[in-house]
Amino acid sequence: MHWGMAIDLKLCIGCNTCVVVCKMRNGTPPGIFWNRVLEEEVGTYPAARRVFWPVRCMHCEDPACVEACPTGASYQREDKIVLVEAEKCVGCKACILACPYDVRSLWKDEGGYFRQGLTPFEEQAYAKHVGGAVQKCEFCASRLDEGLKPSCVEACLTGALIFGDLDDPESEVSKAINEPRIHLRLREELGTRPSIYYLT
Amino acid sequence: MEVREFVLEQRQQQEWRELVIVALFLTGTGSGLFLLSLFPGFVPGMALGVALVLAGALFLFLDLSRRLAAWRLIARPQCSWVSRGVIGITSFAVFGFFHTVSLALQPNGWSSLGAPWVQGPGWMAVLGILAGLAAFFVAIYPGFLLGNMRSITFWNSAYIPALFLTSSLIGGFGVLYLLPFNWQGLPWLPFLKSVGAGVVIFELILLLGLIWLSHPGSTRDSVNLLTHGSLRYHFLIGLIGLGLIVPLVLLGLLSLGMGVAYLMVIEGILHLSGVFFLRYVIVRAAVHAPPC
Repeated sequence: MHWGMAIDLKLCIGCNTCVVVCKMRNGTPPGIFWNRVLEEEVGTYPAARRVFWPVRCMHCEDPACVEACPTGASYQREDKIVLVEAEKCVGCKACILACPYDVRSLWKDEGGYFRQGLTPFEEQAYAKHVGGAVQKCEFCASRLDEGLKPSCVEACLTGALIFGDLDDPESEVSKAINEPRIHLRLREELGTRPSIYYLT
Repeated sequence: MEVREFVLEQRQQQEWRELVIVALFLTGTGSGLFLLSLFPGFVPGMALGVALVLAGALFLFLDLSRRLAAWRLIARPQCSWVSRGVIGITSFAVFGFFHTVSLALQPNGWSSLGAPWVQGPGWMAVLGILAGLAAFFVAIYPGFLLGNMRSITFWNSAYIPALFLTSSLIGGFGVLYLLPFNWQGLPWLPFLKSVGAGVVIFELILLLGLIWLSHPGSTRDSVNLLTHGSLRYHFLIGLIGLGLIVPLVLLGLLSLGMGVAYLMVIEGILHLSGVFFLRYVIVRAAVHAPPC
């Protein structure tokens, strides 16, 4: 089993639904986004256009963050999902620096979105996070364990996010990356072997 | 709260800042001072070296956001340079402390004219060698720690460990020059000066190599930060000018026997400023390339 994702850049319209639903389901604190849709301007007028790059933890096969972590807080499951055991994290930030994809954040536990204190939703959501520890996308590991798909995949309006088992040639994601289209993985030259493919 | 735009662009690292830079300055200077003091058996220098490294370790500790879990830092020396560094600093503190104390308690007292630990009992020589190896590791390991960060290409250079090592030795010279000690009668003072000048010249060569041999991409962007960007004053004036070239000139004047006492104090201060600025610019010039 090797969970992975293919992102069809031609289908992504930059609506940020995946960003919002991730924030809602995981209750991430202010300023912290486990996934982002980065915008890039390409070409020149009159042929200029924007390209959207949904970016989240790449759940690399050879994760630089796990190698850098001095405590073992960052670890990799057998299905290649990279997770952070927050109680073990000391907040040294080595993993944030080591990650080539800039997708890890340190939560300093500085309150919620509103000045009046935490809302009931925030109180419940932030209880899952450990102050001073690093956090990042978990590929919705708990949902996968229940047989569900990650929240962002489920919410994507255009079907740009394709998720599944990369070891299964019959899975939707394996078929997508075996299509006769150009696909790439980000910063492959660093040898991290990401589990997320981009279809251009 | 850090507000970040969702735009594809490179980002200057913000994770390791002043506390880490001060920690690297103190541990580097302390280990360099210990190494330089170890061979002539200069106990005050060794004691101060251990104290500086411990002070640096304190700053590293303060940079952690979950300090009560700090004991976990030694859990993964098989792959993490942070773990290796913590173990190295701890080993140095233990070996260095006991070696310094054992020298200080010698019946004839410590001597700055030789290396009493090589004439003492065998266990003391072993302790001295272990302390020296640990000090060498503390001086050089930040270069490997940074160099192992695959995401920041500016740090992936063989020059970085060499720069940290030479700079630590320069820091050691800086503190030695500042110590209120009657240097004039020491037989190894001329040797100290010539070695000091050689190390400064070597660091200048390494820095030129780092700048000129940088590859395109984010490494070039880091170098541009140093030569034309927001770090240009720290790099060109603080490090190259005040930290390396002016001390070289002063060393020349010192070798001519001019104003030894106050020139050595100025020399020491400038050396230490150079050590600080080297760490400042290397840490702050790190740039995360855009992921796409």
